[in-house]
Amino acid sequence: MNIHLFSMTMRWILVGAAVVLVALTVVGRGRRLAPLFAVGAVAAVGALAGEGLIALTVRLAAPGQADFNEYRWVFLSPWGRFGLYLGGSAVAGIVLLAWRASRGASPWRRATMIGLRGGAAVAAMVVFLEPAVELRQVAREPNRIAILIDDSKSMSLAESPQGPSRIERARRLINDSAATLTDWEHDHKIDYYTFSDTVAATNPHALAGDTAQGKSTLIRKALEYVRGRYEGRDLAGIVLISDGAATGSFDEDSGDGAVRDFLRSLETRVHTVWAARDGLKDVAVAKVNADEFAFVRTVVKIEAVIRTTGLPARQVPVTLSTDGQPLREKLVDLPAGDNEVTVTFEVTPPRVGRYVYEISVPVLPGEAVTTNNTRSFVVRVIRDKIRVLQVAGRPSWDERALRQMLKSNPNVDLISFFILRTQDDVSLVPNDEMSLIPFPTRELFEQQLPSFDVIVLQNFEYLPYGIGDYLENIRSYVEGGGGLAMLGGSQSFTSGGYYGTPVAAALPVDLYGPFDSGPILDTQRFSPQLTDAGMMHPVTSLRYAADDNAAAWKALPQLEGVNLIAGAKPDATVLAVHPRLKTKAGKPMPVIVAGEYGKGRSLAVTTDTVWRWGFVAAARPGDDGRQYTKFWENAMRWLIQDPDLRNLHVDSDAVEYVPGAPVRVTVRLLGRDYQPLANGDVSLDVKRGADPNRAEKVQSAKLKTSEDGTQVFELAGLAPGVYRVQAHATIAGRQVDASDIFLVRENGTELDRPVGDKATLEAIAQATGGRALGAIDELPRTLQFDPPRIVRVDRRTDVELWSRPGLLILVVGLLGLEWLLRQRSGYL
Amino acid sequence: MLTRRTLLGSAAAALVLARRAFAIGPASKFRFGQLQLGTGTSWNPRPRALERLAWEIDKRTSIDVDLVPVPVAATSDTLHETPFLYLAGERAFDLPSTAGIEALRRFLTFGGFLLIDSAEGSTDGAFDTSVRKLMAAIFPAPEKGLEIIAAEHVVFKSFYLLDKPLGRLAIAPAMEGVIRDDRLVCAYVANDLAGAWARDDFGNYDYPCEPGGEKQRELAFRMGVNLVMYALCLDYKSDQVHVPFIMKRRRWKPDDGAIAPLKAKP
Repeated sequence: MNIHLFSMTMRWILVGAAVVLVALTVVGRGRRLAPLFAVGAVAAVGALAGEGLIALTVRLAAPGQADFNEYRWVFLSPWGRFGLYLGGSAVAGIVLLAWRASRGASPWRRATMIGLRGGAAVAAMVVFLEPAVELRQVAREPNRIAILIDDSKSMSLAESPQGPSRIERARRLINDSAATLTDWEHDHKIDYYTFSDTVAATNPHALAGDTAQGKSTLIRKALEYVRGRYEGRDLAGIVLISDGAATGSFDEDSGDGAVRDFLRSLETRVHTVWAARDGLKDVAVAKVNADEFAFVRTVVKIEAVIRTTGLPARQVPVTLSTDGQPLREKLVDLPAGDNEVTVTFEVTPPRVGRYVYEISVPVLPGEAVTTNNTRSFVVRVIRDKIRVLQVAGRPSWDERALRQMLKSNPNVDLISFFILRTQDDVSLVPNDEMSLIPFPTRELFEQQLPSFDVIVLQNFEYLPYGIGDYLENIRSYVEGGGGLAMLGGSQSFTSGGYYGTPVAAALPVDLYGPFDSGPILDTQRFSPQLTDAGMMHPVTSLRYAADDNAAAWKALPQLEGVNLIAGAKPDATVLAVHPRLKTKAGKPMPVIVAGEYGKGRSLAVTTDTVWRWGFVAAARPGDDGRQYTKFWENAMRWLIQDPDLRNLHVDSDAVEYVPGAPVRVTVRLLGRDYQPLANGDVSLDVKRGADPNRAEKVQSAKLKTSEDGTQVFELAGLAPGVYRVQAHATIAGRQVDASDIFLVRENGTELDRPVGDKATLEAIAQATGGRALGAIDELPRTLQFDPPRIVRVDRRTDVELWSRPGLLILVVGLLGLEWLLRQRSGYL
Repeated sequence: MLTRRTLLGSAAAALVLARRAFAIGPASKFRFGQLQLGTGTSWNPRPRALERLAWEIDKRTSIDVDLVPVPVAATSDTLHETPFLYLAGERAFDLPSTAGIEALRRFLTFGGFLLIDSAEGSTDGAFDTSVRKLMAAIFPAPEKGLEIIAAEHVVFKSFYLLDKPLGRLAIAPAMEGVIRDDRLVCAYVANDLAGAWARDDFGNYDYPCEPGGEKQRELAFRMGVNLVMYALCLDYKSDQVHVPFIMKRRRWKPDDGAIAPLKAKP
């Protein structure tokens, strides 16, 4: 057992320094620095001599030292570190005084005198500090090195098509470091792990078949796992091989300080190796910021962050789509290099419900990842208020009653425009004495039309007001999901000139044309009769129970006069008919007709005396005219397609799912009275695909509702995509439908940010005292690990250097020699 | 698929060939109901006035008017057939029966409008006293009865811009009325509106307007038009002030600088 003060390298340095300094002293004789060189040379030789002397002392003091395999220094004096500093300062002071006192002597003589006095001072300090060498015979077991290899999906990427993937690079690193690993295994055992969203033990052989398909890169979880696994065990250190592309952020939800605390809590070094390289090309929809909820027919803002990596500057189209159809598109300038650009879209959902939107950028040549070029998200669209546009051709009691009813409803935002004066009316009064305003046709029928939930054209003739050009807007508004009600009057339907116009296309009735003979109005009083469909239709259900409803209709005051129409359209629903009048086809003349047009709905009421159901009815004691309000409330809710009016509901338990997660779909069936319908048959189709026209059926089922009118259907193992659940049932002979939409996300966010992140690995290494090795091809042998812990100490002995008799002789001898030399040099 | 050509063609055809109609039925038209309170013909001191006003309304506005007023009693089954009631007089009248009071109360509560026009040329005469008794009976305390209607009320700008209710006379500086649920249900004018409106078969006005002469008569007609327009449109005119705000509250039009690309064919 040899005691060393210096490593072999240090010894050679000291020897080299001594030789150089001797040479400099000889060459520089007579110069000012020569004594300093000489002192340095003496100090170097003295240090080597001191080491040899200590080794000799220990060898002589402990003959059986060959049995010991370890030693350590101890100080027996009570001075501790303070004594060491004090002693060191004293030695330094003595050397300085000796330097000063030996001025004028030749360099070698001066160096010798200083060396002798310094050596004596060091020897005296040894007596003062009482150092000892503790020789021990100890036993150790190899400790563990954990090598963590990232096998998340981003590791399967290659920066260039011809180059190796990151996981291949990691494999090569392990293979090419075989010698280093063998060297490490002298003192350590090596455990291999792969990590992504989970951590698994592996070995270099198994690593060869790893294709890196992990769903996420949870570096922190992997380190936590290692900390837990080696709790109470001897961990030499960790080698982390990864591209650094952590899922989310490494310090997510914790902040820098918390991350640092966590890394320190590992209590071991983490050396990191960057498996990625520069040069990856990718453009990605990195992030989408959109509110989960939006209001119908109101602009909703959607922000998308487009990230470009390693590509030259270029312009790309960014597209917002829904139902497989593009809605908005922007050309975006992407700068060269690694950059993020935020793109803002605005979109107006036309109806209440769930919408799956998709933001996409085209796949560019050489892109490493193509799945992150699109990103889907769900927005739930709810209603704030019903916005109604009431346009009346002239003031009337019917117009007044509807306005009063709508104005009194707090859930309605009503905008009314009434024609108070026509071109035919006499005007002898200057305009500034009248309160009339121009009819804002363009603003209403072009600029603001889509903002309305329902448009009511009440006895309104369009021709005098230049609205002909806007009728197509009204038709397309209904087709796109809007609600339209046309009420009768002398300026409505055929007599309003609507025959053959786009508005007529959206109406649920056919109008008489200009060449049809016969009257177009009837002025007689009548009581409309409900049809079978009208008995149960939401618009005409004044009461829940069918008998009550029929009685309520019978009790309504008579109406007066109707617009005559050619008939109801084939796919329309006639709710009420005239008791006497017939169409030319011999069918009862429709009075109230409901229909669907495109995605919207329209309602035709061919009289302008519905107000009588309110005000005239209220003349009767006990009747407050509520049936009028009820009728129009029903009509408005039906026109806006109020979800609460549906008899069949289908809802998934979430709007977004991860792949493979179970999806619970609940169907709820209500009877005509909107009470839960038990034992009802509901058929269910599940289709996959953003575009409803191309969606592919993936599952179907027949369900029977339970006592509470509901039934649950579970779907499992769904692949990523947009899913539509369509339910169908029949209630009292009428088919009812409902649908829902949900999204199964792509595989997490692993490939959202595929570019390698060297900085994360550097931060981990720095915080744990490890080395950030960067992009290397072979592990260095010099990597520092904690030594194995001592398992047991078999023998120990202390060799006290300070109590050796030779030490005193050495002190006296050195001082004597120094005194003699000084005397002979004439310094005494 | 409708093309622009089809659209324009249809519009042109509709313009030329639209089959016009001028009335759908009596209930569609505006018609005065003349409330019969008082003895004999005391409820109708200006027999031709309402017809004349109706004629003016028909000529000046888009309202489809039935020129002939309908006399109606408070207890009549047809009271609610004419939601605009006109009550005039120049002397005291007896209050209707309890049933009549209740009928009038229902009429006004559920949407009817009552215009009371004093022809007695006094603001504190016998007719005025009867009117106040009548309104107090219909809307007994603590409900609010007649009150001054401010010049800012929408009834003064429902068609013409006016500031006071002038009639044959200008003795009452303001209109009184009953407001329930923010709606003017009854207007009381003591300036003999009908005195300014009344005209004989030869086209001569029955009474001169004092002190403003023909200008005052024109303002009386305008007041009549405004009252009818208010009954039919309520606060439509004052509501127009809020329209720009309501319009802006719901912004539907995307303003993101993006284009709407052509949709893919299914």
